[in-house]
Amino acid sequence: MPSMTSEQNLESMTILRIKNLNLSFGDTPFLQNIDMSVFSRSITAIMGPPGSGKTTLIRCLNRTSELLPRAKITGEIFFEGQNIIDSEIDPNTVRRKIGMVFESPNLFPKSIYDNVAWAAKIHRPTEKSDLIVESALRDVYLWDELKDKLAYKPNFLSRGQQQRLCIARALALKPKILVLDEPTLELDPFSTSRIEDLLDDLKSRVTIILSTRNSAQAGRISDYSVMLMNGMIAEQGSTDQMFYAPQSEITESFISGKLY
Amino acid sequence: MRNHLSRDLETLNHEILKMAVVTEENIRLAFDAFLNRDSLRAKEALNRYYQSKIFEGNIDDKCAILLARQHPVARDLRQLIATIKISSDLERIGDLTSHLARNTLENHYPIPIECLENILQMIDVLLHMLRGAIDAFINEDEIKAKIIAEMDLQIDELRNTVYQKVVAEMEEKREQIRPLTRLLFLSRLIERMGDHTVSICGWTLYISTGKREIAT
Repeated sequence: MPSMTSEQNLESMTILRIKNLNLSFGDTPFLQNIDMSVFSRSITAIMGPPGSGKTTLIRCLNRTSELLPRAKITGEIFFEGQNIIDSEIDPNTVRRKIGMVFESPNLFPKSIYDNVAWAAKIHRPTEKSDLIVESALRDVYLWDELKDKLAYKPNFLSRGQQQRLCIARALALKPKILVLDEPTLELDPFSTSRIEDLLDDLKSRVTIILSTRNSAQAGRISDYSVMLMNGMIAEQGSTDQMFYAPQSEITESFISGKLY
Repeated sequence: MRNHLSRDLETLNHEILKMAVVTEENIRLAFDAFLNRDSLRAKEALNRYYQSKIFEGNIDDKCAILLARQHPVARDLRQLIATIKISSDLERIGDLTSHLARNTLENHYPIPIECLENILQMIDVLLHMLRGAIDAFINEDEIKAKIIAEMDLQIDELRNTVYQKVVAEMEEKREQIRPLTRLLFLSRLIERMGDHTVSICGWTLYISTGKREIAT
């Protein structure tokens, strides 16, 4: 049980708070009673087997789950003092501050430069695009490789480089939170390692939420973990604690590779 | 995430270094208390031993979490195993200093001056070995680890010298048997501390080769 002081510290570190979030499609519940906090400048891993509700949950954070037909969402997600799933909040404002990277690199059929600068030009109109592009590409260690190829379309890049370019595109908007949905699912071990190192470097500047079915990745990379099963949180806490002495049998089975 | 693992292993090296510094200081303190029959310093040495226990516990916990989270393999795995073993060796050395401190508090016989020079030499060699063993571990210096391990022969020889001198004294001065026994106790403790130091060298070599090449 954390002491009062550490609870207060955690409270002051909270950047996002989900309260009693429920989501159903028609009569079928997909997320039930989700209560969790995300702490600033850390990596939170939402782990669970396929179909456990990871993607559904993190899509609530940038208001894309509600776009799905027959989706019904109740509960609250507090960020910067507002319930961001309130219908009066502009979803675009939320999406600018909570960036999203998906499992497959989804780059535009445009140049590398435009891929990074396009959205940033709209949301950061007073800043020079060249600087935004350079800064974002440096953040993902692609600047040296790509600085002479900015006009090319990104088709020639490896999957890992394309995924890093997607991260650069999200970072160009200067989000407060970066949400990644299984970002290394389709990548080889080397590219996975590069992205994990990259996220470790980025967390001092942007809070990261990562969904993963790979418990080893959650163990390697995250500060806090959430175990999701059948749309419900089985356990959450520090990754140290959850990987050393999990309290839930579901977590124990999942991280031991006995549950999939 | 390999960067993370490297960083954590480096942090563990620093923890071992800090634990070794505390252990070395405590060896000096406990021997000083023993030789000067200083109960205050003996109590301090006893208290400091508990620091070693805390260090060992913290290092073990960190290693366990690292094993659970990072799944180290090959050299990283061996380094982690060696770290656990070395913290245990340092704790054992600390435990021997606590025996010394307790003996100082419980035993009021004066220390006979016979062989004292040999005992002081043994302590010097031991402290040199301990510092060198930790240095070899931190710098992954196999050659130094082997050289330091071989220095244990000096301690063994000095212990034999002490033993022979003490036995000769006992035969001549039977009323001095009890005080002279303290010298045997002292030399035995130093010898055992030397064995743990050799073990530390062995674990350093194990990191490179994956084999336990030095038997203590």
